[in-house]
Parts: sequence; C-alpha cells; structure tokens
Amino acid sequence: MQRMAMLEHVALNQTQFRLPGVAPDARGVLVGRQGAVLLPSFDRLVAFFRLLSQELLLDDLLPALKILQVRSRLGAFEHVVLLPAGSSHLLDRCARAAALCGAQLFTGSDRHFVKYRDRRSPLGYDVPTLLTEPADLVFYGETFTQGYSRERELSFGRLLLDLELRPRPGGVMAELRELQQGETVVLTVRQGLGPKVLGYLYRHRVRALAALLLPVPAPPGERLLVAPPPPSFLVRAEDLPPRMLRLLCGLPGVVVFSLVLDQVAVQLGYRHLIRLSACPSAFQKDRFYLFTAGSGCQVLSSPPPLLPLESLLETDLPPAMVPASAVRPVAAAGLKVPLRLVHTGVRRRVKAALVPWARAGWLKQLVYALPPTLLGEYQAAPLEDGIFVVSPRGLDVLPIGALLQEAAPSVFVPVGMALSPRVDPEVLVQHLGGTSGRYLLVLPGAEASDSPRVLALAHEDLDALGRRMLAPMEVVPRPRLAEVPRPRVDREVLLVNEPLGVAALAPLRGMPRGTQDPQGPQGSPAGEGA
Amino acid sequence: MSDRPRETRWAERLLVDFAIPLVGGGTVHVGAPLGNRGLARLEAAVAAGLDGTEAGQRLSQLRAAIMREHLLRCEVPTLLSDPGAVRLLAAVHDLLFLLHPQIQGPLFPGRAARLSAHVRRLCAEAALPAEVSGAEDLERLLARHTLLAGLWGLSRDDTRVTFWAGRREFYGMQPPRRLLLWGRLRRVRQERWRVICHLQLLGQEAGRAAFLALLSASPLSDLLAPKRLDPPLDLVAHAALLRCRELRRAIRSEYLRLGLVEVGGALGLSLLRLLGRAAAPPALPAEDVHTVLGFVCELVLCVLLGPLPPPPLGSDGALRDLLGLVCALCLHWPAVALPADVRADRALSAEVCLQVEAMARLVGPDRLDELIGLCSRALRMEPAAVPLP
Repeated sequence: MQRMAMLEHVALNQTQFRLPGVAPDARGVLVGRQGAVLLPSFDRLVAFFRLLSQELLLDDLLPALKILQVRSRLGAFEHVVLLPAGSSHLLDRCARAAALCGAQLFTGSDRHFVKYRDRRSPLGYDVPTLLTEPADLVFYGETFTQGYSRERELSFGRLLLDLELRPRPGGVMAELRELQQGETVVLTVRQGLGPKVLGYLYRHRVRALAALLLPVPAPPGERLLVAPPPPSFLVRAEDLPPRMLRLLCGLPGVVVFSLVLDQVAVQLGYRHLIRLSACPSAFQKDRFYLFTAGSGCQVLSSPPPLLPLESLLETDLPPAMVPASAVRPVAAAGLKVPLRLVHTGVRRRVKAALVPWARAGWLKQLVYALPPTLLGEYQAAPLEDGIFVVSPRGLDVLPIGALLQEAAPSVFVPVGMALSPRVDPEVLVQHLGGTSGRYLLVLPGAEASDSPRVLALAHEDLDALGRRMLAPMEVVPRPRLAEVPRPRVDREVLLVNEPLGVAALAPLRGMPRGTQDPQGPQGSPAGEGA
Repeated sequence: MSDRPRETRWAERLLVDFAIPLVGGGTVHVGAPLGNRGLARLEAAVAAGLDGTEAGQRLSQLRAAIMREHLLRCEVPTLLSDPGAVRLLAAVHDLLFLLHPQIQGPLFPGRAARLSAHVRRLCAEAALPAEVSGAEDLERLLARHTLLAGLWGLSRDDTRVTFWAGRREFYGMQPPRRLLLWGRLRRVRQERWRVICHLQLLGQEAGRAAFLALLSASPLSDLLAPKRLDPPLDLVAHAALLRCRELRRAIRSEYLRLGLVEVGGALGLSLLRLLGRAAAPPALPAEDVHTVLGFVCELVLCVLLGPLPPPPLGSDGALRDLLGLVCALCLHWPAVALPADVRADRALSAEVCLQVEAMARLVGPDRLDELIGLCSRALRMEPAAVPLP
C-alpha cells in the first residue's frame, strides 16, 4: 500500500482527467465504464449481494458482473466485484449497499479505479498521479493507493448454489401463515411414499402434476464423490389446502418447497441469503433448482416432465383395445348457397354509420358536441348513399343514420342483422374478395327478397371527421401579448468572493454561538505556503 | 444618486452586486456578512422605497419573469410587500459567505457555526404556512422561489497557482498579480476549475444545515430542482403544495420540460424511499402519500400518452422502478393513481391501460411483482383484483 497525496475533487464542467477511461455522466458525476466494490472478506461479499439484491434487480448487472479474488502486495486476499456502471443513479445505490457492509465503491475502467463520489466531493474524484507499478487492478482511495494482482474469478451462479439456506424466524409455521391461498408449492416425496401421497392428493382433488426423479448413475468405471439423492417423486401442487400443507410438512420423507421463480424452489421455512427473485437470469431456464436446507442445491438437468397425478397412479386397463375404422372423404357436390341479411335482434357494438344526405345537417350539429379525441378518431367519406362514418373504437355517440356493426373485420352490416348462413368471419372475408385496404358495407337490397348490396370503400377515401367537416376560416395574425414575457435565457451565475479586511467580520461577533462545527469552506486541501 | 439616503444607496449596491445577478444571471459578489445590523439597514432601505429605485425595479421585473414561467398572470413582486423575502435575501447572502475563504481562520474558530445559526434563524422567521390557501399565498410562494432559483446554478471558479516554492489556491478570487510575475523563472503554473456552490455548502456541516433551512423557507425551490445531486428529493415533505392545483400543474410542466429521462431517476429513488418509509412504522399520513403517488402517476401518464415515444429504460434502474411503480399503481390502485376524470372517460382509461400494460412488459413481471408488494405494504391496501377496464 502506498500513501499518496489526497484525491482531487472533480470540478463542474471538467472534461480532462488523469484517470483513464472515465467521463462525467449527464449529471456531471465522474463515472467509468465499471464500478468496483472492494470487499475485505467473503462474508462481506455475501452481505453486499444480500443488500444489493434487496435494493435492485440484479438481472441488469449479471451479464457483465465479475467477482474476483485478488491479492495485495502484502499477500492479503480480498474480493472485488466489478459491475457495469450504467449511470450514476445505479452506482449511488451500489455505494449505499457497499457502505452498509463496510466496503468501498470505486469507479474506473479496465485497471485503474478511483473512489466514487461522496458528500465531500459530489461530482467524484480524480487522481493526482497514476500508479505505475505492475498490478492487475489499482484502487485510489482517499488515504491509500493499492495495487492488486488477480488470483481467480468466482462465478455468481456458483455462489448462489453454494450458499446454505438459513432458517426463517418462526420456521415453517410462520411461512405457512404467510403463504397465500392457491400459491404453488413443490413437494419431493421419497419413492416408497410416492403412490400413497399421490393417491391422497388425487382423492382430495388437488390440482397437481408429478414426475419421478431418478438419480443419474455414475459413468462406467467412475465413482461419484457425493452420493446421489435417492429416487423420489417431484409434485407441483397449485391449491393445496393449509391443513394438507401442515400435514405434509410434518411427514418424514416429504419436503415442501415454495416456488421463488418458475424454475427455482426453496425449502419451506428457510430462505436464501440472497434474494433469488432479484436474479432470475442467474438460473438457466432449462434446468430446475431445488434448494434444500442442509444438503445444498439439487440441480435437475432439465425441467421435470410433469404429468397429471392420474397418469402416475395404478389404473385398470380394459381387456382389449377396439381398433378404430378408417374413413375416406367423399367429393362434395357443387353447392352454392347465397348470402342473406337476416334480422337476428342481436345488437353488437356500433362501429360505423351511414348518414343519409338528408341528415347531414344533424351531423354538422353533432360535430360541435364531439370531444377532440373522437373528432380525431372518427373517419368520414361522402358516398352516393350518404356520409359513411367509421371508427375502429366504436361510434357510441353518433345516434343518426343507419348504424352498422361488424360482421367480420372491416365488413359492416346494419345493427341487429347478420349474414346467413353464419360462416366463419375469415371465410366471409375471403368470399367477399378480402378487406385489405378497404371497408365492405353489406346493405339490404331494395326489396326484402333481393340479395344484399355490397359496397367497397377504399381507406384512402376516408378523412378525419374534424378535417372533413371544417369550413374554411380567415386567419388574422396577432402580436405576442406584452404582459407575458418570453422564457428566460439561462445565464451563467458565477460567485465572486470580495477581498475583505478583518473588520468585515464584525457582524459575526453579535451572533449567538452555533452548535455545529464547520469542516471548511472549500472541501479541498488548503494551499501550501507561498 | 447623492440626494438619496445613505442606506438606500448601500442597499441599491447590494441589489446590483448580489440580488440582481443571483436572480437574472451574472456575477454575484459576496462581501462581508450582513448580520443583524445589515438586515436592519436593508429593511430600512426597503421601507424608504428601495423598490422604486432603478435596481429595485429591475429586480422586480426579473422576479416577475420567473414567476410568469410558472403562473401565467401574477402581480409584480416587491420587497416591501413581503418582509420575509427581505430576510430570505439576507439569509442567502450570509449563507454564501460560508464559502468565503475568510470564514476560516485561527483567530475566530466558531464563526461558521454562528453564521449558520443566524441563517437558520432568519429562515425560520421567513417560513411560510404549509398549506396554500389562496392566490396570495401562491404568489408569495413563487416570489420566494424567484430569490433562490439561481442558487442551484450558482458556481465558482477556483484557481491553483503552483510555483517553484509551493502552491496556493484561490476560491472565487483572482490570484494577486505579484504571484504570477516572472512565470518562466519561478515555474508558475495556473490550474482553474469550477465548483457548484450548493454542493460545496452541502459538504460542510454548518452549510448543510443552513442550506436545508433555506429550502424549507422556499419549498418550491426544493421541488423545482429535481435533477440536483444533493440533497435527495423528498416529495412527501411537499405534499401540501402538490395538493394546490395551480402549483401541481406548474411543477408537472417543469418536470416535463426537463424530460422524464432526466428527472426519472431522482423521482424513482424518491418514490422508493417514500414507500419504504410508508411501509414501516410510524406510518406517514395516507393523504400525503396518495397525493405524491397521484402526482407522479399523472406526470408519467402525460409522457406515455403524449406524442413522443416512451423513454428508453436503458440501464437506469431508478427510472425502471419509477415506471414500474406507476404501472403497479395504475393497474391495481387506480383510485390512487388516476384522476377521477380519467377514470370516468372510458376511451382514455382504455388508452391508459394499453400504455401501462406495454410499459409493464418492459419493466418485467418479477420486478413488477416486487413493486406491487411494496405498494401494498405502503398503502396498507391489497391490490385490486380487477385491473383497469
């Protein structure tokens, strides 16, 4: 460790720094590409992640997060967490977590890291000189400059899997009380108990799926160092009643887990030191993780192939299977059924209207009453039959003309009517030649027995109702109101201290003595003698 | 000028050198602290017609221009109409003297603490009622803000002169000419940098206490500067102001002018702190919490429903949390998050629902669930089973 002159405070609008790879962010705070948390021990490392996972979602950090074990020149091992420094807001939160666990946050890029901003220097610190000694990482603190060599990298995922679960205060019963009705739980049931427990759940109509987990045998010629877990059933139950949960929690051979993530389950009554729901991307989607107290984390190489309970219970099969007879389709005769408009009495949402020209005056009056959102939404087009008005969200406030509802997307029929036979809307659209770039209006013929008329209207013929109905207006220019000034132009405000004599401080003598002691006005070291 | 009383001439010079540049921009000169005697002289000058002088009128016009940025029509403010403003002006001057090099010295060690206590006393005397009850209160609040608005942007140029025998630093002052002579022979080197004054004040204990007292005497100045680095924005402390319709609109407009990307981080952190405090005993007043949450939701919805695309979430977790909180509130506590007229308008509430759901997808279901849990604990209400229509 080398003692050096204190760090320099970053000034406003400063653009040049001695530390490489740093720059001020949008708020003017000095930030490098990475943040580095220097932790003196492993327990502090765990404490840091524990606090950080409470504070924010770690998923954003994980792709570029590195945990390094480093060694100082004195041979002391420490840990460094390298984080991507997206913004100073993010580093502020990391700094809080680091301070709470007795660590320090630095910022920088690649090799050199300087202390992150604090209250004494709100825009951050720069270094007076760079350390030239060979080191993988160099940290510049307020009272020290230290070079570290890199020993090894730890995996965050491994750290999660290796940490032991801690019992919750109040144990299983406390967590059972907190568990919400209908929350999904996972059970592991020893193979011998499996049929009985599965049968019990099935008889009580519990919605559950189950799979049989078999231990993976050791490759030929090799021996496993750790004994594989015994074969067991894995059950995923959705609405287990509390009384059954209490019963199963106390049953030897059955372990109950709560689901923290889709593929991660933690034994009931225990919690992981790090909030697992804050780091879902640390767990692979195609695996399943079971955190059990006392035996670490069991990782299933693939999600268990869950089946309904009845598939796993013993059933009686019929004595013989009846083979199905094959059939062949027969060519249909040419049937041509004409489409008809029929009254059904079923009113659906009005989406368009055809206003006859005789009612155009009413429509004009109505335009005054329409709110601006509707004026923008309503589209209109003049046709020979009247003014066609349409809105994709519905014409709830236009009670004039022939109201139309959708029989299929972009196909309109009068309200209360439908096309018969009731073919699928997709088939109907295809039959009418498609609705790409156009609306189709299916209107009744002149006589009741006539087949319906189908009118096609291109989308480009429609215009916003507000624009279509507006009459031309004369525009008269007006000067700006003098009472309301233009917005100010931001001018620089610069403070200048006037040189004063000793007598200028006389007003201070009459003031009562305060209780706080100042730390100095400049927040930077006083100058040396001239 | 010579026929005017001596006090008025002195006060006029104070306005020209200090108050006018502080409000309208320029070089703010900080001289000897005013203290009680200076304050009395200033009050006497105001009573003798300081507002009618050229400097007084210029100051009033600059203050009115700032007020009209937030309130369309308002009276031109004068120092005579608000004795608290005179005290506040004196407090700002004496507060800035805490940055003067002469405040430090071996002969008189407690001077900064004395000055800080004096500033705090002036601020306490100038304090306004918490609730805004009428147009007069509103204008007075804005008028106070005009005196402090420039404080956030106030900066100071410092110089370090290094020479063969040592180095000296000058804070907000020019180095004497003699120190720069024979530059090559004496190996004179000058370094200049600029510091933000309010951050320098907040770095001192005495300055921090006095600056916070100043903000409590002009709460609008606190609310209208969400981008500052320090002190953290505390919205719930100003819930009473946010209940005033005109002020709420003015603050919202200012935040929208600054941009959600710029203010979102500070708002997100402020909301998380607020909800954390509300969730733990002693509980904050529910009305205040609802007011703040409603204000932030309105702000975000103005952006989401506006013509511009929603802000990119990027790697700013605080902005993501802010949007996540708004999504959680709009979807599960619409009575808190949405104004009554928005809830009554079916088309608009459907649009809100659409936008909020899209934003919720960006925030991610896991984080959203956590934020819903936080809101539920803070509001002491279960999430509504039926979300927006």
